[in-house]
Amino acid sequence: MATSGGFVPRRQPHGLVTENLDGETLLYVEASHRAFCLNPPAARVWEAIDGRRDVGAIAKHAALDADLVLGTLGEMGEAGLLESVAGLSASRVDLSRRRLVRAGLVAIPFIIAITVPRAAEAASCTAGLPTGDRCTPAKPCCTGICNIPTGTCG
Amino acid sequence: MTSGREPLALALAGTLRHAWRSAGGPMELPAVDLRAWAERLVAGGVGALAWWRIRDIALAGAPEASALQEAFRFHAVSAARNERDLQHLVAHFNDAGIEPILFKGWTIARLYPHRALRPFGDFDLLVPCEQTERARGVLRELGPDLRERADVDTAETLARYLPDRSEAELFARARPESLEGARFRVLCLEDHLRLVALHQLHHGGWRPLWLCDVALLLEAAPVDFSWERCLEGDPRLSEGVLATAALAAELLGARLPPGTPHFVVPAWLRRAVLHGWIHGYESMPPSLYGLRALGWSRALRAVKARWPDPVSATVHLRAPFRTVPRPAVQMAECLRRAVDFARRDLRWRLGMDSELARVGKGVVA
Repeated sequence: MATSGGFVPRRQPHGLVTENLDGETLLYVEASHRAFCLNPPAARVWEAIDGRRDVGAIAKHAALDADLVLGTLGEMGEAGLLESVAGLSASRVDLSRRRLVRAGLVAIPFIIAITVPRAAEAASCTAGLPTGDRCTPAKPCCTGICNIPTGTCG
Repeated sequence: MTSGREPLALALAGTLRHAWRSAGGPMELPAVDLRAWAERLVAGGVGALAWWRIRDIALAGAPEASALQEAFRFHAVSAARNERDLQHLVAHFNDAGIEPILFKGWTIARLYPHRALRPFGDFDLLVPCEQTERARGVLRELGPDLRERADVDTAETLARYLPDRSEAELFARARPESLEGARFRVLCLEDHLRLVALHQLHHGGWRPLWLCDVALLLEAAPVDFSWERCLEGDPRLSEGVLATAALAAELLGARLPPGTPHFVVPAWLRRAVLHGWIHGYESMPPSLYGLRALGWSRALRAVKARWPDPVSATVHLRAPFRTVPRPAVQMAECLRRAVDFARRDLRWRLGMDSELARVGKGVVA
């Protein structure tokens, strides 16, 4: 049984955007501009984090082994989703991960870092004047010609 | 475009055919390198849209398709963030007595069957000219994050795409709407379609997402959609709008509104757009400022790299789409840019533009 069972995790109070999509929970961390995908078991853990439940109560609520919950909380902490993971023992998290691998057929919570699609966001163009916005591959010139080193349009 | 790359470009078009609809219909498996196929879709801003199209067929299980699903997930959570911030942004504009027109980005994204399908990186806002400073003041108050993600335009700055629409016309035709109490306007569909079509032509049409936007807007046209209103203004630019609509119909299967004037897509336009889809945004070599320091061989390479694409050259020069050979148009555009460059270079040398001089000296050094 987990020794950090009394730890009460708290979500980051600010700068998190959540979206539910086809049973998965997606999270955007504004401080790091990183996004994460929680599979349904991890989403159950996330949902159970209310600032009052400890690890044991979360495990019960999410119908998961407490060590799996500990491992998941450790990953959530690393991802910047939790306020603090100081109450979690690092060795315990590592042990959970080994158990997680051995768990085989158990529904394992996963937290996947979502890769930011390269140049996928369609930003408006810039005039690229020396006094204005710089042009970049993601922010092309209205003329279509960007001098990348200077950020000016040709 | 070399013929070797054409199958890939056509595979992209096949994947995106009707992709903006709730159900895209049957689709053939692309007979191309799936890794390159997925890479070009993601780079073109249509990774999520492609995932939407293939999500229920066997292709979704291919390892290469995971990049598309990643794009879908990322845009889903980004869209949630953008929507939250947009309400906040517009509410602050309202507090300052400004009711902006929203265009492109979110106003198009919300027309897709899922908000994750159309990524956008910034908020495009149009305000009356006399409210520009006030609008910029609002953005300053909102902090760097929102300031960097919001572009304030006026009819004057938007003239790069819509030179034949006055501020009064754009605002009078725009439709009032609200988002959780925040009031804004949206361009009428005729003006919006014209803007979106000309915007992509100005950029050489390299992003497939832009043509999907045109297809979506064409199919969103209400029964009273007026081509007359959409095409009023500069006839050469109107020809470009029609050409883009016809291209969306030809490549993506867009349904054209009733009464669409007949237009045959010129082969060069189709070829150039497909070339752009494969090669993407082509960045330029170092600035031409300080040419003498760069040397003639590098200068020649720089000029070669700046050879304009036929699409943007045509629309920048307002050249006809069908009667003049494209190399002539590209040559003329190259000359226009060279004259513009020489003019600015002269200003730099004469010290008439201190900011430009600072940038130029940095490059030479």
